[in-house]
Amino acid sequence: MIDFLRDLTKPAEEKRQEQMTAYVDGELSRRERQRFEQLMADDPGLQAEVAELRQFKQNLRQLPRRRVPRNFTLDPALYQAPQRRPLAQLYPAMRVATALTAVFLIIAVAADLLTLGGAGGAAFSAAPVAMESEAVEESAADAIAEAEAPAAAAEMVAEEAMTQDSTESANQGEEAPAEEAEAAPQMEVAAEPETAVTEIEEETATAPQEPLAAAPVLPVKPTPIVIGPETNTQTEEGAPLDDGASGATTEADLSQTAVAPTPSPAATKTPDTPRVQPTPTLDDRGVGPQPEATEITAAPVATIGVAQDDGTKSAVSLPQPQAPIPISTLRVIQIVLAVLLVVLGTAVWFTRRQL
Amino acid sequence: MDEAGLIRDAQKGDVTAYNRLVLHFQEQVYNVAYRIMGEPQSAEDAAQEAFISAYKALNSFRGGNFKAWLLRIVTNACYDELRRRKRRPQSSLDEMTDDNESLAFLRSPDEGPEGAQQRMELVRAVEDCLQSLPDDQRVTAVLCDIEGYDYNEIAGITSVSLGTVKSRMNRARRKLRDCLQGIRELLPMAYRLEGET
Repeated sequence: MIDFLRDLTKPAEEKRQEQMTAYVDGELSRRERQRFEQLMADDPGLQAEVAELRQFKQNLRQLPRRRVPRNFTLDPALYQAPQRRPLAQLYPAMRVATALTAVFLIIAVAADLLTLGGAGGAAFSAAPVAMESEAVEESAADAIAEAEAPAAAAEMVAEEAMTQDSTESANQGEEAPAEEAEAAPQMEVAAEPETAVTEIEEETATAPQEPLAAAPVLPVKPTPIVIGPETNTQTEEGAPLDDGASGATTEADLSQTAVAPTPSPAATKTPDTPRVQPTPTLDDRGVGPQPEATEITAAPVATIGVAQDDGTKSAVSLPQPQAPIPISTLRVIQIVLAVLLVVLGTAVWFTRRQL
Repeated sequence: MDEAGLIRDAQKGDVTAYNRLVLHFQEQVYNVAYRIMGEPQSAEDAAQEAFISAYKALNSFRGGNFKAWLLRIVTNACYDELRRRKRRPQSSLDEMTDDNESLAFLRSPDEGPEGAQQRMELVRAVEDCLQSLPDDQRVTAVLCDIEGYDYNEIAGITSVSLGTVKSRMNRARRKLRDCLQGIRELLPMAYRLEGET
């Protein structure tokens, strides 16, 4: 193999010289010799080179042989019987055993790789799983932090809204929504009576897409949250309270309802609670709903947060750190073969030095 | 000589049987050592070391070509001696005298003094060119051109591949040819091929 690779990189002239030397020494095969003789027949220069090389070889062969200066026989009194070398006698078998061990080790490693790690690989999968769990925990923590930030801001606004609600529309049950806002940190459907809803729907088509602009006001993650119409009153552009905001509110309602309704206690009991008219809500600049919305938006996050509060992060959906996985049989075999290969290889090398 | 029988007896501890083998092969072993080492004293030490090592390792001989097995041992002994020499360079003071004595038997009665002198100069030139080769190329050239072994036997003796033997042989010949080119005129007629004249 090494000779083959060496021949590939050898210059053409060197190959020609080697072939000529081998021809003079009679080391070419029949086919190679015939091919070379054909080349010689066509090349007088090559013929001269071959002749010169033959002469040189002959000269070397005729070098005189030296006389032996003395006999190299051994003194029987000084030398005992030749030592027995069990390792030397086992040398051929050790070489075969080393080669077989290497082959089996390669097969074992290949089998392990082909089975995608198998059981032995599961030991390594525990690490990435733990890393994934940590990543999930971090993302959850980030989500919580992000939710808490707007929640904190929303709380401040909610306090203002509550203050305004209590002073302006106490008869209209504004306290109810305020109370609801306080009591129910879930989403609240401040639905108008059906007529009002109808009006809102009509105006939704013409109303600007302001409610959507309101959404960004709430630093809410794209979670499936259904926000009540009050949310839309967060329009900062001062759309007409009567219609535009309503329409915008409705628009937001429809849009966000389409996202994904999140079941919540507030939503379930909404039909039973007095609805809050949008107008007063709008007068309030929709401050009221904001905390609701905020709270609502916080709800899903809070859900996770609750989970955080309640217990461990892993309680939600984080995989539990896996217990140490025992080493597979295949891995044990690989280790044994590797150790055996080292031992046999060392023995073969040591024995070869002695030979 | 029953080589196989002598080997069996020697493996059982019969030193006398082993000495018979030594007497049979010592001239070849010594000449190989001499051509490799380039001077008589080192060749003598290497040959003695080789025979001692061969006796101690006799039980590891599992049959086959005993001569090739013996030459492998002497080649390794020469490599060891060459490494020792490189670590501790020595000058041979008696080389010239010893050469004259050992080459005295080369003189032919029909040969005049000039012929003998030319022959000795040629031999010395070839030996000097041989010593100018790297160790591995010199060993290969000695085993092939002087001792007459084929490439497979040389590969077994020197424990290298067949391709390595071819490569070393080619390079050794080219270097020897270039080295001897300048003294080509010294070649006496007796050393030229019959077909050249």
